[in-house]
Amino acid sequence: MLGLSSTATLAKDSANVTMFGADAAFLLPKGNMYFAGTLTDPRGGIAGADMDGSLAFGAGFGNPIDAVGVQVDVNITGTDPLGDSGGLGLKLGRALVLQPNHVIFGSVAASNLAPWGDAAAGDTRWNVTVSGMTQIDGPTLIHPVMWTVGYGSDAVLVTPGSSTTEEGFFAGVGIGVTKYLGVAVSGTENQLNAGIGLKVPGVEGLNVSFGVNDITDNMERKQKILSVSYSINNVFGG
Amino acid sequence: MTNRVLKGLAVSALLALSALPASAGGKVTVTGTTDPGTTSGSTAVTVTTVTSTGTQLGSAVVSVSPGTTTTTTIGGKSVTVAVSATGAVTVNGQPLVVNGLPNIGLLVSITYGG
Repeated sequence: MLGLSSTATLAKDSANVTMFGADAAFLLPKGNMYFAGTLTDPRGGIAGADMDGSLAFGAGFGNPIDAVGVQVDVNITGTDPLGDSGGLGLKLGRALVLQPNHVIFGSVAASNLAPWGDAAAGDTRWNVTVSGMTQIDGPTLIHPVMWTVGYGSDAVLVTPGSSTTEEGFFAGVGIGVTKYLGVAVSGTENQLNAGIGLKVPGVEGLNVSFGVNDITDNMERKQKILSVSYSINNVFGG
Repeated sequence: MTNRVLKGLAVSALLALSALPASAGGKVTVTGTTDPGTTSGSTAVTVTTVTSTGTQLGSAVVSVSPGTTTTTTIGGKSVTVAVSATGAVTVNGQPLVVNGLPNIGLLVSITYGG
C-alpha cells in the first residue's frame, strides 16, 4: 500500500471577526455558556456622568440547523450592590442559508424579561434580526465578514440630547482583520457605532471588545464601552 | 428612562460579543494517512474542529477504509467522515475546502447541529 499524507487543512488561518453595537442572529451553540462584563463611560452616554457596569451570562440550547436554537441570557444591570437590577433575555434562532461561503441566520429576541430592581420600570425589548457571514481570501489570512440587519423596539434614539427611544432599524458589519483582531461598525438612522474585538492569544474563549456608541455624538449620547467575555464549549448536553 | 435605555445598548454590546457565529474564524481540520487507489486497509483520520472563540470543539480519530464512511462524535456533535477511493476526505458529505476557502456552511452545521 502507498501511504500518503493527506491534509485537508488550509494553509491560511482565518481572522477574528467581531460585531459591535448591534445584535446578531447568531446564537450560542447548544451546551455552550458565556460570562461577560462591561464598563460604560459615561453612564447613559450623558456627558459628565460616572462610569457604569453590567454583567451577563447565558447558555445555548436546541439545534438551529434542523429546528430552532435557543439562547437564554441573564443580564445584571445593577452592580452596586451586585445584582440589584436586571432581567432575562431569550433569543430563538434558525439557520436560513448554509452555503459553503455564505451562512445566514434569522432570530427573534426579547430582553428585559422578568425584570427586577430598577429594570422593572422598563418595558420588554424585542428585535427581529437577520445576520450573515461570508469570507474573503486575503494575501495571508482568510477574512470573515459578518453583517446584520434588524428591527427592534428601543433601537433608535428619538432626539439629540434625550434618551427616549422608538422602534426602528439597525444594521452592522464586521470584518476579521488579523488572527486576533476584528473591527465593526453599526448604526441606526441617526447613530453610528464603531468598535474592535480582540481574541486574547493563549486563552481559549477569552474575548475583549472596545467601542464607542454614537461615535459622532450626533445624538449627544457618545459612550465608550469595554466588554470582556469568556465562553466555554460543551458545558452540558444542551 | 435615561439609564435604562443606554443600559440596553451596553447589554446589546455584550450580547453581540457573545453571539458571534461560533464558526467564524473556526476550522475543521482533517489529517491522516490515505491509501489512494485501493480499497484495502484503512485511513487514520483525525478530525478537529475549532470555534471562533479559539476553543476546540473536540477531536476524534477514526479509521476509514477507502470508499467507505464512518460516523464519530466530536464535542457531542455527530459527524460522518468519508474517504473516497482516491483518498479525498469529506465530512458530512461535504468537502472541507471550496474554492480555496473553508466551507463555513459545513463548519456552522457541525458546530450548531449534531
